[in-house]
Amino acid sequence: MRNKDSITGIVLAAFSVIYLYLSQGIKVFTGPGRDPLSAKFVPVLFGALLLMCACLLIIRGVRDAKKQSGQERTKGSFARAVRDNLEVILTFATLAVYLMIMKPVGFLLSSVLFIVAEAIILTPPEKRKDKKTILLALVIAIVMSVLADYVFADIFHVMLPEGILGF
Amino acid sequence: MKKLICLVLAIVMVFSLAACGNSGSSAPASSQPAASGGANTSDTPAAPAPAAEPADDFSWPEKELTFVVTHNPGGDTDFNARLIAKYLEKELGVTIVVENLSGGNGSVCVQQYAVTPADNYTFVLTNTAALGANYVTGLSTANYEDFDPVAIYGRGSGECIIVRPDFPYDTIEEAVEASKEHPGEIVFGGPVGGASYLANYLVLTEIYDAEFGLLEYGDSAERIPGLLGNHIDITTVSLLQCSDYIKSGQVKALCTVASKAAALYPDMPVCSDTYPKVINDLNYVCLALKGTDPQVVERLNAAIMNIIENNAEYKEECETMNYQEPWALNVTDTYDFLAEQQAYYIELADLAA
Amino acid sequence: MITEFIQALTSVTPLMIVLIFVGVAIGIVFGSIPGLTATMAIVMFLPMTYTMNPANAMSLLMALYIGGISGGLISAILLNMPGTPSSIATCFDGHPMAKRGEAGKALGTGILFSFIGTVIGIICLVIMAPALSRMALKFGAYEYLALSIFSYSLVVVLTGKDVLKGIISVILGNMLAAVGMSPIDSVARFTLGDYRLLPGFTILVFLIGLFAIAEVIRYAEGVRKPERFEVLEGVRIRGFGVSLKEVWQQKWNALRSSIIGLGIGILPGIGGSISCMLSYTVAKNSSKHPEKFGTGVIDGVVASEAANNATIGGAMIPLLSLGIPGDGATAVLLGALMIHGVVPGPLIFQNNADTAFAVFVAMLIAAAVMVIEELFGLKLFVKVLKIPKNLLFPVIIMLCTIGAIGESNRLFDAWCILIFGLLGYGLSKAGIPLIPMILGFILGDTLELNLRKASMLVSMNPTSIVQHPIAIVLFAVTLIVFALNIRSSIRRARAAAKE
Repeated sequence: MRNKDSITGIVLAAFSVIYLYLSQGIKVFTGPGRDPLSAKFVPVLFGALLLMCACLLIIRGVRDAKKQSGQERTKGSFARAVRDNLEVILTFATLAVYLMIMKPVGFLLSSVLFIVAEAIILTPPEKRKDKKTILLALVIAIVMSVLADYVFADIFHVMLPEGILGF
Repeated sequence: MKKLICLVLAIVMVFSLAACGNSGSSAPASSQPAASGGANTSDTPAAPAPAAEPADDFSWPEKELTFVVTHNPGGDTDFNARLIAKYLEKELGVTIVVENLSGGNGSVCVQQYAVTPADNYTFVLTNTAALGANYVTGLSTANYEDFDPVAIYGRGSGECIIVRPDFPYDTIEEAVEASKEHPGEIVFGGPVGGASYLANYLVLTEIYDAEFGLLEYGDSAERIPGLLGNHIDITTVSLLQCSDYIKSGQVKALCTVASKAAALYPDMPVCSDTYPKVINDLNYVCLALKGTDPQVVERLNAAIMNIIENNAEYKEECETMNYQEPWALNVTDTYDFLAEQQAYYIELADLAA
Repeated sequence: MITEFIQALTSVTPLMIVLIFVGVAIGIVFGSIPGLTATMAIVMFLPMTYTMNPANAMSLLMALYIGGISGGLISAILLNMPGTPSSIATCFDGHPMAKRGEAGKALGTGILFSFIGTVIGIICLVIMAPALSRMALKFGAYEYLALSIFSYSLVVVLTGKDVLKGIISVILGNMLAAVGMSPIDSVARFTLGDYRLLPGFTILVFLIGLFAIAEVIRYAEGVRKPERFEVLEGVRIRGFGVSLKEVWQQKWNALRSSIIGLGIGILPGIGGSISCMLSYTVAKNSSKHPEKFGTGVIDGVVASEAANNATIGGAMIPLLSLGIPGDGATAVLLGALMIHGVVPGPLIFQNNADTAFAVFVAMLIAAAVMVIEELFGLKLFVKVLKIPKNLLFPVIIMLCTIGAIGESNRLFDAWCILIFGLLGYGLSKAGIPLIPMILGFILGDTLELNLRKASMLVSMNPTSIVQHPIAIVLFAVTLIVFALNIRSSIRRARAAAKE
């Protein structure tokens, strides 16, 4: 009988195990003037604490699940979960694509594309096909991207990537 | 809503015109150095093609330069970078943007730019102590050979070993001897594992058998307060940082760890007179990214040398703010100097092992 | 001191006033956009000040600083995204107020108490700088360690009902802070051989990912659901939007928060983000109705904003009298001073008194200008809520990306924002609170550095702590507060069980 807390606990426990494993590789400084604790101490301390807390969470999760064993577990399928959270997944995906294309395509163009795409994702479905919505998104995207590029790349010399097109 | 759109479109048109105006003039220019830069960023370490050509069509620089400083503003590395940039702007006729990317005593910046492709307009400004010490302690996987050195463009006035005014000893020799009699009681404040650690504390301890205690004071800005607050008894800070404190009598300087006394304090003892191996000269270096056009490197070096040798204003600022004389090396000497420094730090690192 | 101050007041030129007006306005813009910070504003304008005389240069930079720190409250309240790390705690109560239709009141409160905090900071700076910096000198490893542990002990207050998850949150924050180079020996940790992780995660990236991205995600979740909340903001805002009676009720909160902010500012190495969090936590701890914090009470906004602005004055104290920067922004100001030939330190009041006092005067004028500009803009700011979120959020994400790239000029930080956004989303789905994690993250380095330094001290001389009365007092206070909190938690649990 699983429930949210125990799944969280398992994930956290796994994370803490990986963290502790990586901590083994931390170099210990052995020269004169070293402190008694070394760079390993704090990571190991907190990794161990997290492992402990994660186990407590798992136990609590199992205990709570047992208490609720009378209730029906809502039937869910993976496809349903994806559909319910479509906008969330799309937002993350769009953001990832934005960052990936930024170097080859350039900051300006990728920003325009991103803003238009994300604006459409964040629009309620019934208004998405509306020409006015798309046009407005396009205008805002172009205006703000050009403005931001000019102000930050040209005036403030922030190194925003320039694409193969040169801007 | 409609009014907003009209207003915004109007602003956009204005800005676009302005932007077009700018990019129009620089578009053909930026394609030229990019082309030669592109040729150089291939993996082969061959010399670039137009090396033999005279500088007839060599029109660098055509847009602003970027100097990336490996340390934070307020320190001497940043100060010297900004100072030389100020004068180079007039020499070269373009703006120089000075940015800071600090972390790990400069190792973060050095490692990032060691793998950044050259564009003939980006340069890394750092100091040789950071370069050398970081590399030999393993903090940085990159060193001067991952760049095309442009110039050693300055020498710092060095660090001093300072103590509180009521410290019972007046020379470094007395302090070291006292530490042998009372091991661990005189506490030295410095970075555990950094360049200063290598050259000062470690040498005194390992070679000259000093028995100072060591307390971590990695940030040089915290060392004077640490001293004044009685948390540590002896430390090294740059002359720039402690000069006012010496003048006002709040700290006492035992000696300088530079190779010679600074012009402003000609009577300050030099540590290497007593302990020959304690030398910690800070030299400021300008590095071009690997693969930069050699003509660019020479041109920038020439501009720097011109300022060092002929600019009276720069000389005055150097002396007033940095207590140092202007000093620079040409490209070949710079390369040799960096090699020497690295060898020196490798020697020191063996002590720490 | 007072006579020089008045003298500096009379030598204010019209140009300085113009510079301050422009500086504050630009600072507010930078501060209010998540991803851009006050420090960035100062860095970007620094080159432009080279040709100015020191007084004018410092006026502009101080105006940017004060405007920037204060501007953070705008997006914190309206969008639940801290404009700068110093305004994190303002989100906790400011945004719920905005959702209830009290955005004007929240903004007005924030602006007013930002001003009060700034002024208290300036007064202490002018009158007590030498004495306060002498006190700061006494803070060593034991004292900083005690202060860090004290802050952690208060976390219990922030965890809400689920203490276990709150503790997990703090631990996670610490674990993330350990990524990068270790303090002291700069050993690479959890970098998986990639040099790009050597500097670790910056607070900016952490906050933008957890707050800004998460906020957008929260909105994305509700895009298809019909009951999206509509913000009512038809209320007419008079003056500050908050009544005199309410302001007076906040007097002790404001005073205490300003003192906390001032203290944190004076201690180098800890900055505005800690002061707003600590002040908020202390306010919640000492309040008669702590359960209301987080639902939208002005106490939370007051505590956060008074503290982070008082930190400005506090951070200037070690900067000017010792030459030690208190945080990132003051580090840049230190460079600015030196470029203009002013060396901060013990002789600043002898050698460059006019510049030092020009700085004080500029700060005071900037504080006043900040209030004026923000009050005028109050109605405009509230209109931001009316901008359709499907257009506003993508633009904000773009600006956050610029901010992330601008910090160290690399795309890697922008990817970190994405990762932290995912993390924030995952944690909120798991019911793990994000607020304690912030505290764990920002205190992580300080805690570890001073813990290890203290261990060096103990190994050199086991009884050395008795020479540090400040540390002993702080440890004692920590134990007392912790015990009191445990006791009241147990009481509350018993009362709840009885129901």
